[in-house]
Amino acid sequence: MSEKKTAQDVLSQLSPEGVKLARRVIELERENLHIRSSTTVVNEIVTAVKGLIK
Amino acid sequence: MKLLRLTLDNFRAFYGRQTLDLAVDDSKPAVLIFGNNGAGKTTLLNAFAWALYGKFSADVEQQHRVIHDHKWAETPHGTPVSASVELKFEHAGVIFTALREVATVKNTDEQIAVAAKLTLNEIRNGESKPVANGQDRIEKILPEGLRRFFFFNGERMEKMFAGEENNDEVKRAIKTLMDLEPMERAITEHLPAAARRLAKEIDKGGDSRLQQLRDQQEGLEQQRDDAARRAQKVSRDISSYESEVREMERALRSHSESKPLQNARKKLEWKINEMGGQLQDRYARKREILSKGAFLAFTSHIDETVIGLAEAMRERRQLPAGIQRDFIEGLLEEGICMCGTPVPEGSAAYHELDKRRYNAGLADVESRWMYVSGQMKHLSEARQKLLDDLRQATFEIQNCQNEIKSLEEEKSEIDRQLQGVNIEDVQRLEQRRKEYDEKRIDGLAEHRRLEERRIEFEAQIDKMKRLFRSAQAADEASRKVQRQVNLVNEVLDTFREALELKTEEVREQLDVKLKEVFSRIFIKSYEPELTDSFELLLKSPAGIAIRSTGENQVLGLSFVGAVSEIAKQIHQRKAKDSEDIIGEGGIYPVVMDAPFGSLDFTYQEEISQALPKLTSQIVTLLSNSQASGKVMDNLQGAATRMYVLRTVTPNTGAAQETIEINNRAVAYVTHGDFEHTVLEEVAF
Repeated sequence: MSEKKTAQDVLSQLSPEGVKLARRVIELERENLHIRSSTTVVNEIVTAVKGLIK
Repeated sequence: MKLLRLTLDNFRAFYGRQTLDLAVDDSKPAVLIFGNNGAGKTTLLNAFAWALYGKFSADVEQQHRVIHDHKWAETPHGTPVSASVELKFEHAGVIFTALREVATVKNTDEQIAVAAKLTLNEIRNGESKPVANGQDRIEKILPEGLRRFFFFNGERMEKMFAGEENNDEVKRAIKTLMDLEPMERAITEHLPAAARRLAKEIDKGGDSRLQQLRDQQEGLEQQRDDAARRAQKVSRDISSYESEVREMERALRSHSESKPLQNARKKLEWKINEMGGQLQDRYARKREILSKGAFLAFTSHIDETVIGLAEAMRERRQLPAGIQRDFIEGLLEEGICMCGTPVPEGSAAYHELDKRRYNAGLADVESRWMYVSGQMKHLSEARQKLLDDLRQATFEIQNCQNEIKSLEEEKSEIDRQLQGVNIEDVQRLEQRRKEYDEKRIDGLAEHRRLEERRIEFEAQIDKMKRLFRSAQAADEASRKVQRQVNLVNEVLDTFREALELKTEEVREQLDVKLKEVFSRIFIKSYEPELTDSFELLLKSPAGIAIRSTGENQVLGLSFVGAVSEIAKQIHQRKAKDSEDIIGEGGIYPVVMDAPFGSLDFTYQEEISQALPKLTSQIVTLLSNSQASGKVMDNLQGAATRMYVLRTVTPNTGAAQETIEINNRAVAYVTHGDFEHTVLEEVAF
């Protein structure tokens, strides 16, 4: 019987850019969690993506 | 979250400035605070939550009196006066000070409610700066909805899991404490928005295929979101219909249960009314008896005396018989006697006739007396009858009154039993129940349809994403945007799957931990379970256990302990291996008043041993009676600090008391100028 897939297994399948973006996204979310509607997070995610894929 | 210091300024029972140092060693996570009844343990427990959320728990009386009574009294009119609580804590490497303050100018003798103001400062790298939306920040560190898990009274712990929203609250508590919220927010809000923003950057003159796919995806996302929003609304409606149906069913149940009682009450009301009418009739009858014959009551003996006298006079012939008085008066008027002799006024004959007229009057008197004496013989009988009639009427009135009293007592008992019962008309209730149930069924069907549509849209969106991903972009600029959008979608899809798995992993971990903590404390073979839908159950060999107050307390403590322990473990693991993307966990304090609630001594001992192991920091408020023997030894062994809430009272009649801590008598109740509480650290 195969072992149950874990959240970590799923996350580890991300591409290297995917890992970098995922980390940045979580970091941004954590920083801005206290702001109900944050436009900063979307802007920052877009900037991070553009930084990763030029 | 680690509590560092609590500073009270004229807050409720605490006069002046009092400071509670809360920093603890890792191996000794407890801060013990002893205080007798009324010393301010509940106030102190509330001070934490008030500083963070600006609200007291419902059991705090006179909530508007935030400023110490003596402080208020000694402040002259027109002068500013204030009270505050400042909580210094650390969270995720940042130090915060939350200052909650009420400040006003005294214009009345009585305190009036004043809105409390929050100032939250964060200290990063030794620099303090205010946080603009302080309440939001606190809400994200420890949401107000979770305060009952971390700042609570052990005696009211059974209420921790009361309410229908219990499961959602538990789920939310877990997500917050396990730090899964950032990922959830990225999935629901920010990553889809970022993907849309990027996709919009495909030039108008650029790749038309990508543009088309992007527009189609956006359209589908719009429809999916509309369906999801509608489904959410329907879901809320269903909940409200369900609660209406439950309410109607409850009313119907109570109605059918109470029907015999209601009938009995109606019958009694009718009888009481009937008896009331009878009572009025009997009063009227008594009044009639009295109005007709009451005088007889005053004739007792007089009649007999008069008859006796009259009879005696008659026997002595002192009551003359003879001619009628008006005949003699006629002779005197005419001035001629019946024999023809003139009888002028003043003559001897006139005088003689006048004398006869007097005697003739007496004869009238006699005949009257004859009549009255005849009647008077019946008077005694009539008087006896009056007495009998009155006795009977009074008896009947008394009976009536007794009967009414007994009926009213019977009705009062039924009223008590019917108290709080909804006695709406059954038919109307049944009709309403049916209407709401139909709405609920329709809602469920609509919700299912919407969910199906949402899943369908989701599948189509995925298809669009795949098409977008694999589409051959016509130019370099479009290819770049395509790769950027693909990257966002890769993270989004991964997060979605990971969050689902992580939530389940955490639930499983928590379930195991909950069982472990519970079995450490609880002696019965009961087992708690956190179900797939995050429902907290307690199972006995016979099925779901009917939880007693004590069992609920142990269950509540176990849940809080298990959540704190898992969060701490995740936090420690994360600290060692920072490669993990999600779930930082965290450490959370527990502040509890009367930790043993109503538990018996065996449990007190077990809990005093288990408590310090559950969390990284535990502030415990205890009374003298709750801390003795083994319990005290266990708690003291885990304590970094101990405090006493010394009650100061002007009542010199009250005995001054001490509490024994570490074989040392510490002042507990002392005499002073006015009522207040002093927070004193005990060296040990």
